Amino acid sequence: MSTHANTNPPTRTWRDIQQSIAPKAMSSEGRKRLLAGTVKTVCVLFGVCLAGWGVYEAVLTWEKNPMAIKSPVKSVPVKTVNLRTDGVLEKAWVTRTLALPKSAGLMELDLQVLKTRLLESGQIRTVVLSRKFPDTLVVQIEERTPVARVRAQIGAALPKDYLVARDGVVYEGLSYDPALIGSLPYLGDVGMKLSRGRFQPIEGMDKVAELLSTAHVNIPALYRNWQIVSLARYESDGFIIVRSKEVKEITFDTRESDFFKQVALLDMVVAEAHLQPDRPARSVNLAIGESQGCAQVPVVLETAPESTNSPNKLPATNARPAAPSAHSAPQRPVLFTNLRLNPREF
Amino acid sequence: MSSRTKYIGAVEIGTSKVTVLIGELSQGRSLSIIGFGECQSRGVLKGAVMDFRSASDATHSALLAAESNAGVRIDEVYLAQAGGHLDGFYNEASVNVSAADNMVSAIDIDTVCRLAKAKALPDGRMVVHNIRRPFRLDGRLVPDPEHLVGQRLEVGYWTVHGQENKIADNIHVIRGFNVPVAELILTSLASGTMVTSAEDRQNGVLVIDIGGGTTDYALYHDGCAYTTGVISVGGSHLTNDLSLGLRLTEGQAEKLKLRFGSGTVITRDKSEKVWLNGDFAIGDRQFPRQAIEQITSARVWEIFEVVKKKLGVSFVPERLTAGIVLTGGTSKLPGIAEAAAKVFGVTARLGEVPGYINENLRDPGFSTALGLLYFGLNSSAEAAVAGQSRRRNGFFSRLFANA
Repeated sequence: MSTHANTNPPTRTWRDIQQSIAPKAMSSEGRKRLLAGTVKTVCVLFGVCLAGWGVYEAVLTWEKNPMAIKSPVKSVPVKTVNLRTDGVLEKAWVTRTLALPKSAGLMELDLQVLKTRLLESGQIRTVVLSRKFPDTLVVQIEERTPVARVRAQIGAALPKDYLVARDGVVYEGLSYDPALIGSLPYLGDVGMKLSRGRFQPIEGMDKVAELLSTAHVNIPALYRNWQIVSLARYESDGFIIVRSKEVKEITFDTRESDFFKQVALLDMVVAEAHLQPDRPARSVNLAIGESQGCAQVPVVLETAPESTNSPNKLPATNARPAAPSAHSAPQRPVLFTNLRLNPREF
Repeated sequence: MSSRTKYIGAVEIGTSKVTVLIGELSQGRSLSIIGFGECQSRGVLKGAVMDFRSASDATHSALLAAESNAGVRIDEVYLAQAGGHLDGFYNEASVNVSAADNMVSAIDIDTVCRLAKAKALPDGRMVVHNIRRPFRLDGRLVPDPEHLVGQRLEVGYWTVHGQENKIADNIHVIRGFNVPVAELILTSLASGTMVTSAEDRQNGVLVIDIGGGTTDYALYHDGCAYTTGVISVGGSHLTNDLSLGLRLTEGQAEKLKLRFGSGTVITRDKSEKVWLNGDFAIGDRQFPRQAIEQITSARVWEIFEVVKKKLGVSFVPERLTAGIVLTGGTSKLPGIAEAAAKVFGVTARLGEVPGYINENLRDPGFSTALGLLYFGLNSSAEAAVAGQSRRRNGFFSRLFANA
């Protein structure tokens, strides 16, 4: 056979036969099938067109008026605000703070905005807002617990007491029991900074809170007399200085991992000092004197009757924090030695 | 229907009956026969549609019966093609292997195949099948010459072609049911695949499918079909001969054929007679049995003679180790295998479908429809393998193939 290139026209095969035939040539069953197929095709096309139109409309609406998509259903206006809290905040305050429009439906609420409104009050640590259809807004709140007070003034306003939480957040306490507030010591010598009308969190409050809670649990009698917790030497030396009615200056060391020992020593020192009622302790320094197995605590005893001016006066702490109170004259400390801790006492 | 399941219909529009089988093709790999429909054929003469409406009605009735039997709708049809208009010719081509190292490439194979198929047909004729014979590389038979070394590559094609309008009529009958025709398969190839084993086809076998209006045959050598053909004589001619010879109606002749017809003359007693109906009613009469057998055997003998003549030089008894296999409705005639053996001079037997086929479908009349389903399964499996191959030959596969 020749190996020359083929010049014949391509051979026709049965596949070249047009398989489509006119409906007239079909049997009734064939026409039924054709109709069913056509209806099916039309339905699918219609569905596709409908979906396409829906997407087009949605895009158009999103570009022009996104709120229309966000709140597609005009729901029933919010009737109930359901508050769940682990603290003291009241429903009235929450409702007032949320300031919901009267006719606002549940789906129209911008929960993020409402959440921000609530979090503006520092008393709230976390908040979860959820819709409960048809007309209830559920507010779940986790509140901060105050560990101390601080007195500060903003601008020309009168000085005012604020509460400080364990994480250092400063806030106005609402709905707290006044007795509870009154039992909290003041923070002193704190540098407070304002940012956007709010105080920035105070550094070192975690240590302060730890000290206060240890004292509150283990030496409640002494803790009740604590008036001021000074952070003047916190940044430089890591010391927390507490001023109380019994001892004018107690120095704690935050670098120690455990406040428990320091609190225990304080209790023993105060007990020793009570044996000399004519010369009460003026200062107790728990930051030094530690040695293996025993402790030597420098204690300065009063030499004269207690003056009326200094430690009872509360410092005004704000943008101009009060300076630590100066000692009138250096005195030679008395060492309380061989103080051995007996855990059973606590 | 799951996306991986397809319902295929095998349709044979014969001269005497229309047969439909429905197969459930799962994952393109397994096939279950789930429906069957049969209807007496109308409007079909010698395998060709003569009355479109009647043929459509008969075919659609069978399709509906099969669908209702299976409880599903057919997705596509594998259609058997018969008819006296079908013809075939052999054409071959050869090329010199183009590579300098004489290694046969895919391009060489493609070129030689294209040349072998490029035979112009007369107007109004179109190809039904191009059946390739084995390649020959420097004279030796090779199933796949790619990457083999040789100088001259040859291949031949047996091209089956038919009259365009008759093929179109056949397809349009199915399209009238609004189902696409996926494949058109020669009746003899369909039934031949079913009643012979691969070993038979390798050793050489002649399959003769004697239907109602036509007789289809396919000669296999070396595992592939060498020659096919159709003659427009079938079982209906036996009936017609009886009708003319014994002066009977067509129905009466058909009855006699089914009851007493034979491929060879067995009865030696000329006086032995048989009753037409056997109910002793008015019109019931007797006929000599030997006469019936002589008439039917003469026609059967003639059919085989015509087939042998049409095969011509292609028929070499020595190369027909597996002999002759008879199938089709008329092959149920007693003594027909003996007649074939005498005419062709080789062993002959009745075709049997594989054992896994249901007992109800083991009749020789179903071998074509079963073969169509077999083709459907094979083409789906090939498509699945081709799909996997395409995936395997993806960009990354090719990228790392040379690594």
